[in-house]
Amino acid sequence: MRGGLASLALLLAACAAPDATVILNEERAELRAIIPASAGVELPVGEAEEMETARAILQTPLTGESLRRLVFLRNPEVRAHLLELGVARMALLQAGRVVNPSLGGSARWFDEGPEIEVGLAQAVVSLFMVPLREAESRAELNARRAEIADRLVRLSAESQLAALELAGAQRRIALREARRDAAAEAVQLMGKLEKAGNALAIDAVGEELALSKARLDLARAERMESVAREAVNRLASLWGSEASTWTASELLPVAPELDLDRVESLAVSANFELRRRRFEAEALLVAAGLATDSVWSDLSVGPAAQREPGGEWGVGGEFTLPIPLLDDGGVMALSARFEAEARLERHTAAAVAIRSEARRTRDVIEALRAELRFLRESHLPLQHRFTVLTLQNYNAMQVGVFEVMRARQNELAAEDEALETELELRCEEWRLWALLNGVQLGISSGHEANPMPPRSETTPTRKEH
Amino acid sequence: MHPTRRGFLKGGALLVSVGRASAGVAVPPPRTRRQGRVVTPNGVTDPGRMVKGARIFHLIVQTVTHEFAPGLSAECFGYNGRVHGPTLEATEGERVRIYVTNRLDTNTTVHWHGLYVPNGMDGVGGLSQRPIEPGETFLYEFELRQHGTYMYHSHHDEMTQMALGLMGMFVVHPRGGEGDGPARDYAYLLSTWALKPGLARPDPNEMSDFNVLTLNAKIFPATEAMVAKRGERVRIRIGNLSAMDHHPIHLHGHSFAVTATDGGAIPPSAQWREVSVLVPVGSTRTIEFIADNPGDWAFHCHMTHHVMTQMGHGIPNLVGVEAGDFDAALGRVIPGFGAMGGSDEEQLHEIPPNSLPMMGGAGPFGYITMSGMFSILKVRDHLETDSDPGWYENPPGTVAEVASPEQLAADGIELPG
Repeated sequence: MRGGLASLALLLAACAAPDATVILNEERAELRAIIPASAGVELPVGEAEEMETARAILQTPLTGESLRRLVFLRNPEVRAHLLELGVARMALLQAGRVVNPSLGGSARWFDEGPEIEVGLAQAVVSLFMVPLREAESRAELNARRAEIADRLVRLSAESQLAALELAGAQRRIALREARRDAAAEAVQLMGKLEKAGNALAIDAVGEELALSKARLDLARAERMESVAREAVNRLASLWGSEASTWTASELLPVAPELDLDRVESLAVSANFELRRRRFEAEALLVAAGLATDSVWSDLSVGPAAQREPGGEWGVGGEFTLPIPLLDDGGVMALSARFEAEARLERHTAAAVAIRSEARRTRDVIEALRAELRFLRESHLPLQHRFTVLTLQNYNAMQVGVFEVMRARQNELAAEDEALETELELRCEEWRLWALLNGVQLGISSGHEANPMPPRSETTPTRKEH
Repeated sequence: MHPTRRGFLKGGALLVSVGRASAGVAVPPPRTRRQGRVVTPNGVTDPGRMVKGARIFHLIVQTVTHEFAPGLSAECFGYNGRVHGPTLEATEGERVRIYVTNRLDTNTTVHWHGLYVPNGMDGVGGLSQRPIEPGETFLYEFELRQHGTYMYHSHHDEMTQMALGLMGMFVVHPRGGEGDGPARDYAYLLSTWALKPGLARPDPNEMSDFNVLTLNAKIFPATEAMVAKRGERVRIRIGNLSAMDHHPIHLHGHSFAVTATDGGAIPPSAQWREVSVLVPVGSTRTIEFIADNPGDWAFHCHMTHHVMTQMGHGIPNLVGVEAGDFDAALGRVIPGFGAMGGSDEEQLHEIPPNSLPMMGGAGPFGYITMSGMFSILKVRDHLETDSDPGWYENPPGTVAEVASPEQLAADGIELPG
């Protein structure tokens, strides 16, 4: 009797309303446990000093690192993700709760007096299905945690990539301004030659065309900077005057040292998308079991009392027993099993895609590193040497000033190419960094639109040249 | 101060006349010792030697590192270690035996340009003889049946071998001598080269853009001056073995008679007087005059681009364009340009190695803006030796100077405002 009361007390305590702060703190801890520290994910707790820190960050030129911190301090998506975990957590709690008992009754009046029936029904099978429902909800909660972890790491990587795009855009503008200036000088000089009667209009127009092209290239670079700047505003949740007053560093964020030898296994073992799919499949398998048992879900038992019109009371019990004659639950169960197995197949497909992406990124990084090294150690020095020698030949009156200008413009174009190569390399390094921290950029998490496709799909940079 | 190449075309600002006392007077190059009767400035005259009644010469054909002027050298072909070969000097009626040893790694021949020789001695590879192969020594032997100014040159793959320098002068004095022969007898061979700044070897494939134009394979200021004592009769023999260019050779301060071509002497009654003589490709012209006008007189080709060196021709015309803009513009476009110090920056002001400013050198009144086919005839009242006597000391009042207001006024010259 005492044990029964204790169980009842526990059951009632479990049924009490949970504390939101406690729940969210617990979920923060869960996320910290599954997200690697190297991923740079920081979960704000909403304290006033965090806003102060964010304001201080905005006072200095943004780097990849400072933008990442700013994003986790200010982006409302971060808190929204936490709250969504709260929803999943509540679903788990709900799954552990027993269906409330039903009290039924009826009364009819006869000459001899009323006939009263009273019964209390408790769905019995539901009681026994609590562990299964909990298992399903726990799997779904874990799936949601993996999904949220994916989004948070993605946010961290997107911060670095946004800072990279912006720094690159600023550098690109500087280079193209120099190219425009060189072209403008050439136009001025050719104009003077034409004015002195020493050059034809076609020569002047030729230089103006070159300037026109340089201006277009610069305008494109400025447009790309504007887009990159807006991406930062969106990520850091900046608007109004805040959105236009901050500055950014021209330093290109460089990803931490990457282990290129084991990218496949590391990427697969860390991947949150696979983790989510695994838990979702697990939840579906449990749901298949639940579907089989659901035909019995209407089974209920309980005490019943009846008063005969004559005033005699009878006390007993009653039950409701569904007969699985027409629907044995097999359809629902099989449907759930099909879906679970489909999920498992997609899990495998996703793993294959991740391995492929890991290899692709590694190979591209190695190729880009070699290309950048070649550009820096061979091509750019050659291009510079060509400018110097052109200048020497100009000094020796073997070539004219326009050849020197052209050589310098070509040198700037080569620097532009080197910049684009470095941007592509840094971008791919960050993509691999994200992959090794559990996220495949370019593949949407859950039902989101593709948030960060490969750089080559968005930036018409190298092709421009 | 030497002007930059670029400065020249910006408007002649370099032609700054300075007082002779303060001018940096160039030290004249040492003269080549006179050999025989003909002087070959910057070269040698080879009279050969007599063996059993025949005059013997030996030409060794070989590669030679030749200096056109200090700072500009090239890998050329030459005879006896020189570019060009020695001026061979002999006398009409003599039998000459000329041994030619080929030290090149390619075949060659020698053609005796203008001389009456047996057909088999004419030196046309494949036509009159088989080529002289590397390591072989051929003998050319013939009697000199004429006198005058002639030349010799390779006649095997001559486009290449002449472009690289295989040529020389051949002077035949008249039998019995010249009773009233000149006191001074100079020989010049004109040639053209394609040698872009920074290159080590003349380009034989060039057909029109020759940029090094030489007198005896030298460019001013490396050309040795001719000297003459006032009143002396001077003869100048000029041969032209340029690839594509004729040269009108002009002498200042004198007129001269054209006394001979490579076709022979011109009878006095048929000679004509000139101040410039056109020397066509493959020809010689001989001029004579009395050096009766003391001073330092220019002697040069009158084709204006032939008195420049390594001139580029694809450059904008800057005359009349605001000076200084170009360097300032480059300074704005090229970081470091115009800055001082640092090896990279220094390179920005350099010209390529093995190249020369396109104009000449220091003179008594400033920089002489001539190069290429330019030399000087120095006529003096007194001449102790044949060495270069230095710059001429003009008598007072005989040098053009700034006109004084008094002079202008006396002659009614009013300067426009």
